[in-house]
Amino acid sequence: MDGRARGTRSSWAARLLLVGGAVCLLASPALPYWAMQVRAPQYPKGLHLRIYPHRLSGDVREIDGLNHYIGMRPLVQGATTERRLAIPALMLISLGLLLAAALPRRWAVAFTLPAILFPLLFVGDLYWWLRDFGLNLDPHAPLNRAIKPFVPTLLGPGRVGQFASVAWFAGGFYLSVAAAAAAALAALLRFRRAPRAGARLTAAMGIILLPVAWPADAATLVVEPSGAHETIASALEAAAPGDTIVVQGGVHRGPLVLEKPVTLIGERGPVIDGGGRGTVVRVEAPDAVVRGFIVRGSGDRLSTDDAGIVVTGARALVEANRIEGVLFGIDVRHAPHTILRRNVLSGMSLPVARRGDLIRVWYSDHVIIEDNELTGGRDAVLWFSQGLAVRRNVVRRARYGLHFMYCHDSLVEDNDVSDSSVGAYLMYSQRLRLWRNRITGNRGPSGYGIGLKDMDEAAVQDNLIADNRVGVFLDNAVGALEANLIAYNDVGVAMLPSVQQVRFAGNSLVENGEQVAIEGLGSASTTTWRGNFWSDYRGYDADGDGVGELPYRSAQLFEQLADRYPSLRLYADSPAARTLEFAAQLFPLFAPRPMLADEAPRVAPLVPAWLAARQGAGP
Amino acid sequence: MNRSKRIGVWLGILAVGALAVALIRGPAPRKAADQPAAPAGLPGDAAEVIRARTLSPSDVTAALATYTPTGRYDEYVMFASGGHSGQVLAIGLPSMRLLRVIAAFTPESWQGYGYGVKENPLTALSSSRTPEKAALTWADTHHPALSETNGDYDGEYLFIGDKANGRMVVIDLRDFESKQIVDNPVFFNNHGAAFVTPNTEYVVEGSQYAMPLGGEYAPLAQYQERYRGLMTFWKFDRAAGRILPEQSFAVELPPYWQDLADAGKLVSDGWVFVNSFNTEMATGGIEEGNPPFEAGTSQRDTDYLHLINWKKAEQAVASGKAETIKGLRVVPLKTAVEEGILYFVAEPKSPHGVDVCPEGKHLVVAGKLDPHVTIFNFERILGAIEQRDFEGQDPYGVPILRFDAVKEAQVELGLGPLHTQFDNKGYAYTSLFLESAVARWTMGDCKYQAPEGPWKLAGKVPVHYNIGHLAVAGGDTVQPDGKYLVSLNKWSVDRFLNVGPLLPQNLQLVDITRPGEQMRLLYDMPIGIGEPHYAQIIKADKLKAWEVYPEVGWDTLQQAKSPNASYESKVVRDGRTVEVHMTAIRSHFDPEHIVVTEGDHVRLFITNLERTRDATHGFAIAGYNIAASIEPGETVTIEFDAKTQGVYPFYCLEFCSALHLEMTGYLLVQPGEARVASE
Repeated sequence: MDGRARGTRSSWAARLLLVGGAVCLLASPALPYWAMQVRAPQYPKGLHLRIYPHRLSGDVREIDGLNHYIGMRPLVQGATTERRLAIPALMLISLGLLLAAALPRRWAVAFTLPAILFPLLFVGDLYWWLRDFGLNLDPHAPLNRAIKPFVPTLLGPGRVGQFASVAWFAGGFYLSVAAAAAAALAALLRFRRAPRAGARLTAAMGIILLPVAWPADAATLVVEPSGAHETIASALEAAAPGDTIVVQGGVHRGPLVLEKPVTLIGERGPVIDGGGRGTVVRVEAPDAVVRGFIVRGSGDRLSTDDAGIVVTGARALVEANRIEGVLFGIDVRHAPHTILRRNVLSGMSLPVARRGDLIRVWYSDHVIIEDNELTGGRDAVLWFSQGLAVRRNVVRRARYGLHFMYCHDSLVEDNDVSDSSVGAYLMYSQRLRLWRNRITGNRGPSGYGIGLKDMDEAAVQDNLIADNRVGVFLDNAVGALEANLIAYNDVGVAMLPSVQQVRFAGNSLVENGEQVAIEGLGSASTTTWRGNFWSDYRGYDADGDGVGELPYRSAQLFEQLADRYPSLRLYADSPAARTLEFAAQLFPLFAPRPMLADEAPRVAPLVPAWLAARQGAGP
Repeated sequence: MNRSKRIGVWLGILAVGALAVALIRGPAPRKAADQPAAPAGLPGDAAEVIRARTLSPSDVTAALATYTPTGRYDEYVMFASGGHSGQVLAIGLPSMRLLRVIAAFTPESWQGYGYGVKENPLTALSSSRTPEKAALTWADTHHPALSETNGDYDGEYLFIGDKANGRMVVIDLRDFESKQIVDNPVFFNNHGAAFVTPNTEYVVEGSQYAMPLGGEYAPLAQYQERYRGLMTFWKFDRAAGRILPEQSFAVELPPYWQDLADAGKLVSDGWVFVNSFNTEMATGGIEEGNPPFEAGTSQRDTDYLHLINWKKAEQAVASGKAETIKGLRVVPLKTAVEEGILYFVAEPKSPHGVDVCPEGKHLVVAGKLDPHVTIFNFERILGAIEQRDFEGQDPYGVPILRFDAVKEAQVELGLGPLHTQFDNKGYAYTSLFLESAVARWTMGDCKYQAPEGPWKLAGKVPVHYNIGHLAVAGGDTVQPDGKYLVSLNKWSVDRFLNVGPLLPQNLQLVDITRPGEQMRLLYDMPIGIGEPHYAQIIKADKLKAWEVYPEVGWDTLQQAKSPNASYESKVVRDGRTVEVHMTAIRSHFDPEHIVVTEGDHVRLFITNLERTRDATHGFAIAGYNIAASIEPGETVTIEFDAKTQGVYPFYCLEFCSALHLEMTGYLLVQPGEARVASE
């Protein structure tokens, strides 16, 4: 009696579990089963991929676009059969659970098996496809040499080149796991004789869900006086690919050549000194690391491009080095996915024209340059390289602080460029985003804070551009300048009249000697000017919505003269200039020409959020 | 006091006066301000024009500076290349009026160039090494070079290279017509062409894209071994007005891509300088996953300025040290190194000009990606060569002079410096491609001294847009004129009315008479017939062109009396050849009937008997692709086969008189049976 009652209760409980499992399973494809986020410099928000049993969603096209470079097939080509069958299969499996609940026979318990196995099947199939996609890369892909075939991570963080990814199982999968657990429990309740089978099932699932890791089998060699290796060269000679060489202090003679993929780590500040000849360190193997050294004393010949470190192997990591007394600093040539991070670079004391570039990146896609300090070199020049990330670097007393040519899809953010001839000059690049940079005091003969030449879809946003000879110079550029604070430059914005498709919105032009100058006769009226703050605006905001009731117009005769005779800018605030303007108003013989109109000028300046935060936090 | 200051002061005085009046008498009557004010000295209707056309004060000054009333002549003539039109343009300054398109490599029917007349080099061109080259009907003219005497333009000849096909044309400035086309037998492309040595001893042609000398096949895998560059020195015979290929020679160079050149003068006489790019020796192949050329050629930070001692090369050739390739004597690279003919010095990446200052002492090089110009001192170059002060050698053993030993100065000008010329006030002018501007800067250690002191940026003027070369009057001679500068802009974007997606180039005239930053843009000239790459500006009074040909019966190719000149009409039949001696004078041809039989070969000699200036006659026969321009005194020869029977009117192409339409005649080609009947 007792047993029967319990049996009935457990039977009802099992039925409840089975129905609940069926509901969970049926509901599960509404949520993604597996998701991955890819972080790439050019996609600040990251790229998302969500996999359902029957479909893909998220930034599939973007991810396919990236994958194309390494030769991975489009994601939609994967698991086509599985996706087609997924919904009918889930319905059948759920039906199985319902049958198991409805049929009073013991053998009906077999109907729960598909539901119990389904999450395992999903994981296995997903892994199989990831492996298949990652290992079968098209050898003719543009970057096939840069990326070796790999197995994308199923769970947790992963990395391919510069792309960091995180993968996790998502709601739908957990619903299916819940369904499987419910089915297994129900089966247990019915088969009390075989509890261990269920336990085994659960354990197997747990194992599969664990991230897989293969620890590298690498040795560590130490370079120190009276050690096994007294010179770096001998350690390099002895090292196997993948080994780590730790250099304990000391002064070592260059030149050094890394021909194997090794990790070279300096502890207690070891010096590599080139002795004033040629290039000090050459990184020729891929996947090498150079960290923690003082690299100094290259030659000073321009004709041989003498440098501190020349990188020609892909995926190098050059980190936390001090590179000083060199002609060129770090010269990256055809070495995609290289990372230059937290290096401190300073050049030789030579006239700026005679110096080399402290950072030079040539024909190397997806290079990351972050948190470096560059003082007293020529340029940081990046060209013929796409998908770069240049962030949080500090450049002082250079020629072109940051110089980009043919760098499509790159991201330039949070850098600080000052006291150079030109701050950032961007040329011939598409979809380059330059934002949150601080660009000040660049006053060479051109003296552009930011210059844009033949740029397509440029996005220049939230920058502080102050105290330059010319804040922003535009020549034949297409794009948007938004929410920049452009202040105290001799000229705020200078543009050639050919500039026609630039959207200029939400910027604050504060007390520039001349707010906007058109170089050569023409008007800037084909450029969109809207919602900017102009410190010389004389209108008012009656309704208090932050937007002035009168348009801001610029059409002064004096500005035209100043365009022609730049020295007149010195007198911009003098009575003479006012006299000229007055004369222009008095004698319409020489009618002032309209230059630009902002129909909705802001009445208060807008300070970029990062700057406001810094000012709020700091002294 | 200069003009703009005068205007400024004038406006200022008026303004202050008006302010005073306004203060005393209250607000000025609105009506007064609406009236166009007539400034002192300007007629009232001028004020009306100024207002109607919304001109600014500087517009008015610019207009006055360039307007050339009818019958008044220009002060300068600019010879600009016509780019891939294959021609040369002669433009008057300051009016910027197009005076003449000189037919050079491309058939031009108005001038009767390439349409049946035998007295021109297109028809006379022989010795083509490939069938493709024989059929060329166009060229890419790049760099015109006026002939020089003692380093100054003498106004006698003009040379220009064909970059696309490695050819050179000689133009005689007595009649502004092309006289000779020379085909480089060893090389396909040139870019540093033409430049002349100070007394036009040689016309220099620098190659561009390296290739196996002589045009043999070699795969790109053998680029470093088999491909080469070349500097050709074409011997010029001034009296004959001809290049003498058999007395010319060339110097073999490494397979870098040589670019623009300049000849030394005065202290640097005897040398030619040429810069280069692709010292990486990149061979491209983007489709094979290699870096594209644009990236591959930009890998290094510097290229090599080539210093070539042509007098030593001349001696080496004379002493038999040259090898003959396809009829051209070539000094081998190894010999050039051994004999001290060739040296290098590092120069900023991808430069587009090496320009020798008026005294021959300084060489200015601008790398397009370096905002500085680099100035080398020729005396120090000689010193470094003498002391063997080398920093290394290139893979071919060419010594590289130590950069710091030969560098004089580096001056920061702005973005994308490209080409430099000089004036007579101590300024140099450099085009800034990336900045779309011209920079004016001061020379140091120069017979002319600018007020700002040596090696300083003095000012900039924006130009529109993407300036390539620039030309200053006499700007590459020992005696520059200054005064005017022309900016040869590659893009015009918004400067002119829209005439469709193919836009004209824009040549802009800049007044450089006043010092410092006071450079003034005066005038825009659209060029809708080609892309002028480079130009030279000569004082008009140095040109001594004929008004009419010296004698009636003039062969314009030989510049001598033609043996076929005719003063009376005459028809001579010799078997199946018919010779027709024809005269042309307003307003008839004589004979007016040319009667031949189907299958006859016709030789037509037409002499324009006119002695009146501008009384040019044309001659065209329907259906025969024949068009001649016969200037007063000129005799032309036209040959054709009368293949098909019929009646073919011929007529004068130039509107020569009131009865021009009547200046006509008939070519009557009888059927073949007529001959049988008459025989």
